[in-house]
Amino acid sequence: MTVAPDRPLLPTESVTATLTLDEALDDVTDARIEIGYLNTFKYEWARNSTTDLVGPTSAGGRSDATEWVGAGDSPIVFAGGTLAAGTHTATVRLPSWSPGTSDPAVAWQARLRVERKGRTPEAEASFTVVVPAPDPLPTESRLVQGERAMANSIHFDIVTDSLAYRAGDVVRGTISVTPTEPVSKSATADVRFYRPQVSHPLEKPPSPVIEWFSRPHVTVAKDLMLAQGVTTEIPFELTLPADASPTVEAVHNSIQWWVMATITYAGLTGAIERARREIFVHNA
Amino acid sequence: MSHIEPPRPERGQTGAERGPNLTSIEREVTDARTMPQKLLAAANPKNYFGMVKHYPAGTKQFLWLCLGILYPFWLLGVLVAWPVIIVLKAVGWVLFQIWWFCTGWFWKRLGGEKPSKERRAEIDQERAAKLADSNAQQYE
Repeated sequence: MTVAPDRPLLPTESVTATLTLDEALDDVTDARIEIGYLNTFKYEWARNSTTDLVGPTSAGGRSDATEWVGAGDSPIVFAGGTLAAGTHTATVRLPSWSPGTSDPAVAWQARLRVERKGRTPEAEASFTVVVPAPDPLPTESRLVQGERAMANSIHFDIVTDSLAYRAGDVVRGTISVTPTEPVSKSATADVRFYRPQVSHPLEKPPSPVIEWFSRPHVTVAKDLMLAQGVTTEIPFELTLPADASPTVEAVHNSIQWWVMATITYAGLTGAIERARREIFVHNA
Repeated sequence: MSHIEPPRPERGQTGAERGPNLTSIEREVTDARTMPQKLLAAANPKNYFGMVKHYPAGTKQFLWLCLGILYPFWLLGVLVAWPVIIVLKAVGWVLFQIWWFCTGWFWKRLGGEKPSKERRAEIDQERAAKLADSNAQQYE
């Protein structure tokens, strides 16, 4: 089976799948070309969410699962219950909500689906769907800070020049830090990308967030003397990887991108304060 | 031009969105206050077999088999635990009474707070006098 056009596709474009059968199939009641994506996500094998005191526990650890999510189909025309040998084509339009190809969460495929008595042949072809820039561009995004009880003495603000970036773009912005407690140590400011994989399966127990940080991180300020109540602004520049998996929300998991800023106080006992701002990453 | 496209499939829920998964009977156990209530809940087969309810199919049935074999011994353990807990609670009550008595005794004699240097010297003197007195009485 082959797919045309042989290039990355945008949502709402049409895919034409060409199927070549070596021999005729009889007793066929239905034959279709189906498009959809293989959604690979992490789940917890035996998640016990009975206890609400210590949070969910897991006896078995995490595993990967892959589920098929259909996104449309188109019938193959045949007559007399016999699918003749040779080539058959069908065109299916990608729905507007199609999540783009995003490694490792989403991989698109066109598949043959035949209903007949006896063995059904299998055929599939992979293709790529890109994520276009959001329209309209987002004007607000989430800023998360103060997640840790022990390192929560700085009020952050992270401002980026845009909220949507194409993979490979340079993210420029400013971190504003305002300590809320007296400061006695010098500090280092770092930025990096944080790409969490959020698991939200339909049936299986969800796993905790799978974290990924871009490496190496970028140090934007060294030997910084912060002062209580004084806002320090630090400009930063970060380059998105050219092959970055774009932001997607699939059925069973999501891929998100955040800019994460960390302030590390000097010394062995220096706290690591962090905050993050969500951005949208597209690749078309 | 409008197209008829399949509806967007619903996404699932994260662990935080799902929240704790408690059955009504488990809620009863967490709300239980008295000891007999807790022990009766522990002996309840629904709770006992429900402790492996989050395991996947297959594994869960195997664990049910194992738990079923152990259930009579579990009931025996609950029965033994009942008097043991009563005895332990009684011992704890007695220890508390002793400790509470000592606390009151010291509180009364020391005036409810750490005595000053002068008061401590006074107490020491009183104690020494008492001791000398009793010694004198002994040798009479």
